[in-house]
Amino acid sequence: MARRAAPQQTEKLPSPTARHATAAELKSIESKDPQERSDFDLLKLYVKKQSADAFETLVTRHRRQVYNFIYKMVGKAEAAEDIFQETFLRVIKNAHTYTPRAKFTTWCLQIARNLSLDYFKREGLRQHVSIDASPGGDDERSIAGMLQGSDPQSSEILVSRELVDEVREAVTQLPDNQREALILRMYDDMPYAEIADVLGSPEGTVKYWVHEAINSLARYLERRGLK
Amino acid sequence: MDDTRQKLIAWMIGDLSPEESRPFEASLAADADLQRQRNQLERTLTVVRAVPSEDVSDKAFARLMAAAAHVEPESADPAEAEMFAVDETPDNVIRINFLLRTVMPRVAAVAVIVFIFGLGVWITPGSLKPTVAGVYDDHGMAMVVDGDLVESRVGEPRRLTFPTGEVLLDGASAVRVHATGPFSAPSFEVERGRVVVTASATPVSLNVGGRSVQLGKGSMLSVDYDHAYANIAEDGSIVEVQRMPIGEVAALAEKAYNVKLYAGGVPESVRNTRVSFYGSNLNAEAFIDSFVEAASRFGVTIDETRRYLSYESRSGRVEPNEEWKLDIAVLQGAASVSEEGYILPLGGKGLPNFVSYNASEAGHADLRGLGNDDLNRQVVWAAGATGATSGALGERLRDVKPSAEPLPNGSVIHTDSLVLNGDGGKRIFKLGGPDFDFPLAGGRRGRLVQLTNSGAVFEIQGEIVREFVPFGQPDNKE
Repeated sequence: MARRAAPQQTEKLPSPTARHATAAELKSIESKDPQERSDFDLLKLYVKKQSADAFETLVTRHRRQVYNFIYKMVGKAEAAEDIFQETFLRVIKNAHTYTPRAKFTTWCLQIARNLSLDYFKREGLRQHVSIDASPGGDDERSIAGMLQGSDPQSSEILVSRELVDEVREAVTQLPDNQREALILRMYDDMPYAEIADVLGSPEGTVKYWVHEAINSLARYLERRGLK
Repeated sequence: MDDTRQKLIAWMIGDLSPEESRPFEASLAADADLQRQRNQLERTLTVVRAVPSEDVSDKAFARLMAAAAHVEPESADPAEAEMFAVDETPDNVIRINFLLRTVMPRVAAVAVIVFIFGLGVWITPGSLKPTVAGVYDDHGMAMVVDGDLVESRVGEPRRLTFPTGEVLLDGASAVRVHATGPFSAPSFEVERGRVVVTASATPVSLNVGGRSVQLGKGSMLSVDYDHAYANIAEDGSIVEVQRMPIGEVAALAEKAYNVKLYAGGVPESVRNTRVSFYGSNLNAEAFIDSFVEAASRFGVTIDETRRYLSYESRSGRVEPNEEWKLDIAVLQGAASVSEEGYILPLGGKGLPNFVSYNASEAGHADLRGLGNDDLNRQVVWAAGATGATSGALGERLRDVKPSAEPLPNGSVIHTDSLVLNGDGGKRIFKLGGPDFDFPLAGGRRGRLVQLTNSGAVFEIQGEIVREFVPFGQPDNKE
């Protein structure tokens, strides 16, 4: 009787997580200047030594980027703060699953993104009112009026708070993928490769979404009087 | 969206490669409609970029920290844990309650602070405020609390540091510090002078000349707020006269030194001309010398008795005579300036990084890229480092000689040419000449376009690439 081939014995070990930090590693991390500690170092300190300071440093380091992303996604401060809190609580709960194969920011933004999308689902808010269908300049105050003292030929314009609010609102009306890609590219200056990791889509697609988002905003602002 | 428009957008936000850009730029140059679209998109991008970055409120941050104290990481999969044979070191074996581990050190820290400052509180009841920053100079370090005014004297730049950034003060500058909350970077009110603000780990906000400036994380900004101001110590140890009318300076001499200077021989228009000069340890005669030297540019002379000022008409360039001038330059990253409800984004892609305001054109913002002249006039950052300082700045506002005298570490200088020194006074670069043209490795020359806290960025002639030269690499010219 022919013997069956033995199954493959070698297994790829998973990457070590913060939970696998050794005492020597922790000692070495603790000897570093706090500002020199990597995000993974801070997670190790938090998971293994329950260092509240390490967690605080980690949040402080990323609070603006994460909150900015969430706020621009949902457009409401109260909801953004709740999602921000939940994002970092999930970071704590799932710290043992994080491996440095992905940047901490990428991982954290993925969590924030999922929670933001859940929020829309839960609240039934994503009505997809395309900004292409938004009213034009006839029945609302024209954007031209929000630009004070600007030479129409000049790219140097003074932007009023009102206009900023208008653009912020327009961004929240973009389709999810365009909005996410635009925020990460334009406001976080994140490289396309990283955005692709956060959104789980190819780089080329992400670029296309960014271009589409800008085009939609330009068309919208043009209709609203920004010539 | 058609292909051309998509290409236009890609080109405008830097998504096209140089090979793709060249033919596109050629077609753009020949297509009026495409140019119109470009102009409109440019304005759209400016407006989109003007939407400020948001930060979570301190309250929400504190709420998160409180909630985090009650959440523990979920345990790992047991099989996975076994695979990695997690070591159980003594500090893991002797587990202390999480709450105790987090609370106890804080309680201890508070106890130490109370102990240290207890006497001071007792002497000045109600004055205990948390330290929000430290200020360093040649004399050591001092702690800064909410509401403190940090001043720097001529020739004695100071460095104000806080957990997420720092503010460098050139001589004769003043910054008031405000603590916005226990978890936030402090904010600053620049009252006068030249400062460089670095927002390393969080954004920083400051107010200057009635304007609110928001500095993005990782950005660096220089502010030059030059306005009428005089500070003369009774013993002459400090003399700071800035943009003061000549007639008023003559009156100050009497007040400070009890020396009457008669300015009746100077026409009123010249008496109203503003001058600036600075000094330390000046006696009455040295003060008069400095004053007359500054005023002589406008034709003011003094007689042999050294009491009567007169005027000799002279031709020449008319100097600006404004009561104040404010220059704001983004040296790295991005910032925004808000004034009466309008937000001016600076330093982002395709945006100007320099704005200048002055009293004679109040409400007008002179907006442009930071060119060589502006860079010359701006406060720049010289090799930032910690540690003891030594040496002297030399004659400020003049050529700083490449002498053996080291610049103080972390010094801020304002001059036509400068020498940067690293730790231990090691010479790094000599900057000079109208183009800031420097010798670089490989026999090339580069134009300095930016100074950062860790190195200098050069633009190599004929090439569009920028080269980052970290501090510590010696100038190979001399």
